[in-house]
Amino acid sequence: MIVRHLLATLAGLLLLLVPLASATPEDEHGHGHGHGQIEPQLNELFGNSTTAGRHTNNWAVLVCSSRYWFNYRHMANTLAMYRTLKRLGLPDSNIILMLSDDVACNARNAFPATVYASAGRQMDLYGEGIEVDYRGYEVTVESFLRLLTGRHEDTVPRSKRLLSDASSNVFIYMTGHGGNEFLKFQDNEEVSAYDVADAVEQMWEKRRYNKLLFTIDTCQANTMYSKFYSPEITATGSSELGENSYSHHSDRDIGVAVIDGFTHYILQYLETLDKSSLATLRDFFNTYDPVRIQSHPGISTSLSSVPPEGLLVTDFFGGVASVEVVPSSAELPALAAGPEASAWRPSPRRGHFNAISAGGEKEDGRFEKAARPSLHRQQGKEWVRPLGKEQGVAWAQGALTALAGATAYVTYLALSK
Amino acid sequence: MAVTGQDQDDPPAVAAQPRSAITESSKPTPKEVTARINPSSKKRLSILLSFPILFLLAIPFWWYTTSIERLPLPTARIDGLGGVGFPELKTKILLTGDQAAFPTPPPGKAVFELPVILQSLGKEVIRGVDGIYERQRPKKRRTWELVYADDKANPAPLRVHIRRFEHANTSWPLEPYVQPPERGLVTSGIPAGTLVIPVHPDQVADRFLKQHYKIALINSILSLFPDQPPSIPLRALKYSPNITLSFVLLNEDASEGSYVRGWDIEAAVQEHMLPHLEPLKDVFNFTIESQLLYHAPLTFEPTYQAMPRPRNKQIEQALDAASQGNDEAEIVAKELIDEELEKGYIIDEEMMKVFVNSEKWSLDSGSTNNPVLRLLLYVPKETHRPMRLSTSDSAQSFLLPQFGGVVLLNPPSSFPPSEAYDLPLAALAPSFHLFTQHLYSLLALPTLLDPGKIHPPPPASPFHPPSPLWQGITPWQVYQVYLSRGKENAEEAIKTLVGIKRLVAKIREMKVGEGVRGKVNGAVERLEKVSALSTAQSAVENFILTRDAVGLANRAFFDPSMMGLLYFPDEHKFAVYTPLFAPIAVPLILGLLKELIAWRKRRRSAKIRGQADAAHGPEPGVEAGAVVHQVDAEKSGVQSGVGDLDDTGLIEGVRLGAPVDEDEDEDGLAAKTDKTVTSEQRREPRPRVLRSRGKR
Repeated sequence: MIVRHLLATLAGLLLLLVPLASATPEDEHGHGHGHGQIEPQLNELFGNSTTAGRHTNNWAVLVCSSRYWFNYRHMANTLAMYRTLKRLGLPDSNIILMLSDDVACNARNAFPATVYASAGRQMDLYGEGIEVDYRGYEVTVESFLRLLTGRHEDTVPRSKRLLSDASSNVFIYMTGHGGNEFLKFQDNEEVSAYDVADAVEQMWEKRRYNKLLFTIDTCQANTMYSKFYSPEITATGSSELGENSYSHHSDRDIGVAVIDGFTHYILQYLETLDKSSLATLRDFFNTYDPVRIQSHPGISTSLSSVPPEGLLVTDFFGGVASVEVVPSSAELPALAAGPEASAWRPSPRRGHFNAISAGGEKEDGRFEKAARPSLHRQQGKEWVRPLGKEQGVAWAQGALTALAGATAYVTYLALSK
Repeated sequence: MAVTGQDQDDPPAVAAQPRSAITESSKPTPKEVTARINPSSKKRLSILLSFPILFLLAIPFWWYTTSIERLPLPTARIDGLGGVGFPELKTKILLTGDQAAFPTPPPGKAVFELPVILQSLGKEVIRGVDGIYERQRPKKRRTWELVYADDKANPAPLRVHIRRFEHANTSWPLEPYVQPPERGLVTSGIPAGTLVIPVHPDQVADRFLKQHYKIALINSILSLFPDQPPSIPLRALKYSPNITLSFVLLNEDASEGSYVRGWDIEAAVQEHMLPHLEPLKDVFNFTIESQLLYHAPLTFEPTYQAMPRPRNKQIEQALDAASQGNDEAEIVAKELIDEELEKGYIIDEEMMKVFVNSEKWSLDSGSTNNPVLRLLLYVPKETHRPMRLSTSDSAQSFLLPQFGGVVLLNPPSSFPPSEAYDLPLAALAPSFHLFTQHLYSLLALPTLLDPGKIHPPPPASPFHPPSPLWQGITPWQVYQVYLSRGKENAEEAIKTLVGIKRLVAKIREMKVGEGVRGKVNGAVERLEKVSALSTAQSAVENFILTRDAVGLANRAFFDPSMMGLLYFPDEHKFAVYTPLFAPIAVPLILGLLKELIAWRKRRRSAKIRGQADAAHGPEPGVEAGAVVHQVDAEKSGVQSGVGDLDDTGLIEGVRLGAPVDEDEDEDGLAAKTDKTVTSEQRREPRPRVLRSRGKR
């Protein structure tokens, strides 16, 4: 009995000692390390991985591939989508809008310089701040595929480029007239599902997207995404093979159909969301109603590693993914900076300030090119040295002046004696 | 008959022989006419054949113009790159020290030379570091080696120096710092960028001096030189050799007065930015632009509420300083206390996300396709002052990943309201101090200050106060940048090259021209050089190789010629070619068929005739044939054929020879057939077989 008691106490003591013994060496070096390992794991478990994960910005490509007045609704589809994206916070610089853009100022438009997407004309989609990147005849299959793959001539401006990277979610929306595995571009040419699939594959190879949402509203739309073979694509279309996509309604005064059914209903849903919405793509897809849309919308999620439940609508339709606030320790200590008031100076009056321009006056902040010191110049890499160092020259000038002054004074003294 | 009439009007086109026939007999038989009009069968055949021959000849041209140029890529070499990547260099760190930094041994004990002391210290340090790495999971490896003598030909990129320093702190632990560049007459003689372990003369005699040296060395070297070059976080820009920095001062609304009219941006850039940018000249080529905006309204209304910003610590510090008779500190304290009591216009996190209205504000000149970092100094209008961020314990500044940074600048409330301000350098210092840190984050530059391990350097002269600003970027950091960006570039270049290789194999329509191949080869060559010569080359050269490699690989990938050929399914190709070729092909093929059949027929009849000749004896066949022909034509009384009068003079060709026949008389065919047969019969009994076969 006694032996057993002794053994039990010993075991208890050992149990108590083990954590102590194992804790001591860790305290020296491994402590921070242990925490460092656990924290990311915890974040992964409990954090919202879709927003805090690998993506920092969103890009959108909106394509209206038809032209002419009777295709008013396609222009309206695209502009309405554009408006929704901007409302949800996507900046214009991240939206590439391809639009034949010939209805707003069409001679047949009874309401010049406007585009409406609803009967009753509640909201002008062609109001302020529409930035069409590819317009009119620039909307071609080639320009679309070049946009996706990034294979531009050097002269193409920034606004016409999709500058996404591995941390960008890309949303592609297309509308127009299509058929089995093709979409017609301006009654002139057509893009096939294979072309789009290959272009997206090239995007993936160059890591031009993190996640991609492909949405298309056209007849037999689901065939257009059937050829995709690259990862991380979620795709949705308005109608099955053999089905037409119908317009939703027309405006009697405009005289043509103003919006397509599929786009109308998805926009109606998106209108209920705001920037901080936590709705997922699953919620979004669940709003599809074949009876109202008059066709069977398709959803393809097999290529995406994340099911639609795991993707937020705002992961594609939203704006900036995150901001980082600088901690106060980064600030210059108030004491070291000195009193603010003493640093500020009133500006000397330079006449009345009369012109306010949004552009502002540009100072020429460019610095001249100068030869950079010897090390790598022979390799033909002429790098710019930002600023010339003139302080030395100024110092020498000052010294010379002082010396001259002193000499003059000494001479003066000598002479005056 | 139109053909005949035409012929009579226009005789010179006809051969000479039949012309004489016309003149001889006043009324030419239809057969003669057709004989005159129609070219010989040889000629017809050649005309007919000229079309397919033309097609055949055009095939190489068609092949050349429609085939896609696909030059072979060095796939094997690209595959070979995969395993190599960016080499791990064993960096040399030079350890030096002042003789006076070590205690002189008491008399009677052995005196060791300085190098010996340093070597034994170095061994301790290495053992210590290895011990630390040994215990960590996953296991880490030391990527540096200590050396004790400088090799002039191949100088160590990094140095450590133990310095006996009168102005050093007399307390433990030692406070290592990185030597900034020195100017002036009195310098320490330590090269800029050296890691200095300062020791006060009073400390040299300490018993545990060696332990302190060891701890300081291990801590500071580990902090400055981690086992892995820092990875590039998501918020930072991907590597691009050219980067534009756009400094923008935004007045929310200058029309309401009290706005900033000028700022000393040039001096601020000179003072705060250049010390950090210039040493990076081999990595980044910076373009700096600046502008003032007078109207930059917000798209939302900040909420007016109490400040969420306790700055007690700073106030206490200021009050402490003030109580010691510092007049400036008193003013600072007053400002801080005023600020704390105030209510303000609060920007919460959601507002921060939409704060920058890049659509309406023109934040850069847009003159370049290079990445732009926008550093924005925002001055709210008078009715929005003071503007603060809602987050507690934060600076009035936030960072937008891959985009830039924003600093809020509220004009001091104690300042007399003026129509406009100018911001001199001193007023810009706090903001630019934050900008500097934004820049480090956005460019993924390693930070130097590691609290408790690396300390700010002492001021150039003991009479100056220590500068609170960040020390300009040091060689240690630049070295890390070379390594991390070199690694990033090598990985990116290899990924891109492998991507090109895969795409070219996958997409058969993709063109690979001379330009693309040249760029791919250039990139591969550079990457191979990195791998091959890693030991001998310095980090800069390796970095430059990878920089150029990634540039070439990207240019190859984005080469405009790699695109432009679309996928066409086979149905499309048929749909394009059929309408073109089908109409031409029908008469050509039919004509050829007819010629073929006629030729076969001629051959057969020639054979038959040859046999007949052999049977009948030496009677000249031509004459006989001619006679038969004559009789035959008269008997039939119809035009029996166009162009079937060949050299043999036999009439058999009529039945199949020319299409005109059928057009001319419909019942003639049957009649003719009978007639010909009779003529044949007259000559020989055999051809029955032929006729019956023909009828079948």
